[in-house]
Amino acid sequence: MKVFAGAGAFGLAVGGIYWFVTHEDAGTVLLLSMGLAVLIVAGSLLRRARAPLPEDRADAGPADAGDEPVGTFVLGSAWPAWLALASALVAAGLLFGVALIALGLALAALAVIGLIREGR
Amino acid sequence: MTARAEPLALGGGVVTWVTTTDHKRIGILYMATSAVFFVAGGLLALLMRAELAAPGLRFVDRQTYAELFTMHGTTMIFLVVAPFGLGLANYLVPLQIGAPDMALPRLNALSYWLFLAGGLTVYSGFASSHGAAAAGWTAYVPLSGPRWSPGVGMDLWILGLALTSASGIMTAINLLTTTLLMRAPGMTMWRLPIFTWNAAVTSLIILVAFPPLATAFALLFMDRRLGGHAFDPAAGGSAVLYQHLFWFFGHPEVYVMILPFFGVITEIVPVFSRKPVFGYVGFVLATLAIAGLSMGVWAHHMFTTGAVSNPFFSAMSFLIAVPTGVKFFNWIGTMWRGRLTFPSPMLFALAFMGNFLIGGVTGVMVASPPIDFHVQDTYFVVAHFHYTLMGGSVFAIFAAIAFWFPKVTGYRFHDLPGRLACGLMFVGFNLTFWPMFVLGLRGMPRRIDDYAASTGWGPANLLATGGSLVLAVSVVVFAWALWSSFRRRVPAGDDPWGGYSLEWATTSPPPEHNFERVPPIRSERPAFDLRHPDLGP
Repeated sequence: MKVFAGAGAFGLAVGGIYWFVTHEDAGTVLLLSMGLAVLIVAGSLLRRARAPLPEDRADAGPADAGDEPVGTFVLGSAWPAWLALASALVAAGLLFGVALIALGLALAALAVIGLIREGR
Repeated sequence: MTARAEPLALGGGVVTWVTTTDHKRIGILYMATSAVFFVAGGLLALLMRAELAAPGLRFVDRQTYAELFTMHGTTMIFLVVAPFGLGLANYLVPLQIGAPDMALPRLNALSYWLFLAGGLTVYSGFASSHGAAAAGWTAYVPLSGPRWSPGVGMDLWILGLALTSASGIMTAINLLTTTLLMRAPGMTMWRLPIFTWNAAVTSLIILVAFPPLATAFALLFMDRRLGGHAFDPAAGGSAVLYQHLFWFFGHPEVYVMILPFFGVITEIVPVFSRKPVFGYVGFVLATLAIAGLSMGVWAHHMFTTGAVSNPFFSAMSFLIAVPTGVKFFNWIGTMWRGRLTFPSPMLFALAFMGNFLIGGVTGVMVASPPIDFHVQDTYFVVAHFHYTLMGGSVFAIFAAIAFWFPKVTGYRFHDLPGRLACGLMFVGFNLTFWPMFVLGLRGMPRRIDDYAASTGWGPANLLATGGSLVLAVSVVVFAWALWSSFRRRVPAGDDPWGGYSLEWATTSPPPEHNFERVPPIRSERPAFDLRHPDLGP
């Protein structure tokens, strides 16, 4: 957590220095955004640090996770490839016509429905 | 645990592979696809080298040559080195932290298929009427604008890379989530294998650097197709803004392409030195320092525009050499007084160090504006970045393939042709790219398709072309080593190298959800602790 907080503070500090050295907008916004992005990770880790999990304890062993559910892992799904195909069609439609965009969006909608149903 | 002679991880029909959400299969898909693009990008490079071997346009016309260098750079950067690193991370990270899979398996599959769709979209430009994109891999405006790149190939390039960028962002989210939330009990952050640390930091860089690239591409597409003027100075836009957005992605991207491979080398060197990695904490902190500093160096690519603060970016660029140097001390310290052995992975790792050192030192040179003004857009820069990305990352890719081949397939890697390939590759690489330093210092600009005999650039170019042929032969020899390894089917056992990280504590190839039982984790070398319970902490 400290590492990520430090990295975030570094981004904000360099962004500030950059502004005073250059008065250049684009780079300043990019550097400050970088600092904020890393601070989000630090914030998430700070929340977890209040109640350390077995993976955060140096003395934890396999038995410590005995009752902890690790979640369900799907063995396979056709929808990710389907959704990627739909995305490529939408991208191609931006060049070659609205019909492809409509087809791509329809296929993407099917894929999203499929993913949601599969997740239940 | 016993070795299996049949390669379970590689089995299954087309449907199995298309619908898979297993991180190991997805990792293999990434790496195999990158290998195909590597061959394609390599063939484009050989055509360029054939053209430049002697003065005079002999094989291709000017437009085709521009397409060749644009697509070669695009392929190697967006479709080979970065995705191979992410593919390797896909395969290894869950295994190294004791997780059954990635945190978001279906998002993982979507990432791969978007990457493939993006790559094919970029390459489909070759089939369009005006040919593929020809504005260079950086696609600077106005060269990539509608006036100078009117064909659909440029649009396909933008859209294809937008898809691969989306894929990269999804993979980064997945890797970071997996590393933070899916570790086995006892696998604290300060016990993570260095490769996993580097993959996590790479993911952070991607999350910060890729959105500006997506923004740049969206604005560029709007300028080209929807009447936008974001990058058109005549209408109040800014061409320099494109460079800012592109390089805010572009320089961190260099570290996206190198950090996973620093991780690879740091996994390999201790194993073949029979010592723990020297300075584990220092190594991790150096990686984090590189990531932070990498965000503040983008405009050293823009020194000659006159539109950026050269002292600021020069100072930041010099600073980044320090943590990179720390890593070299880590590797040297690890090997120091170790019991060194030199199978293929270690040879590739040593070649990586030699080549990357030259790439790094010349990087410090071009971080100095007075030198950069002299060599900007010359072959010196081409040589510099090939020493980092080809001599560095690509050598590490071959090291990784040789090192983890037994884990992925269950078979031993055929070492003799592997070592032969490494030797040929090292010689071929240096014959190809060292003359480019000389050519650059003598003023040969990059991206030119021809030169006059009176320039005196002919002999060095001929040498570079000869070297590229040796390089091509070395890749063929390595492919033979792989084919031979499959053909010989010598069982590798679970841990043929005496590895340290957790993937060596499961079967080769690993079962569907990686571990029958995760061993206790008491240090950053859990597989070693398992083999030597008497020596453990």
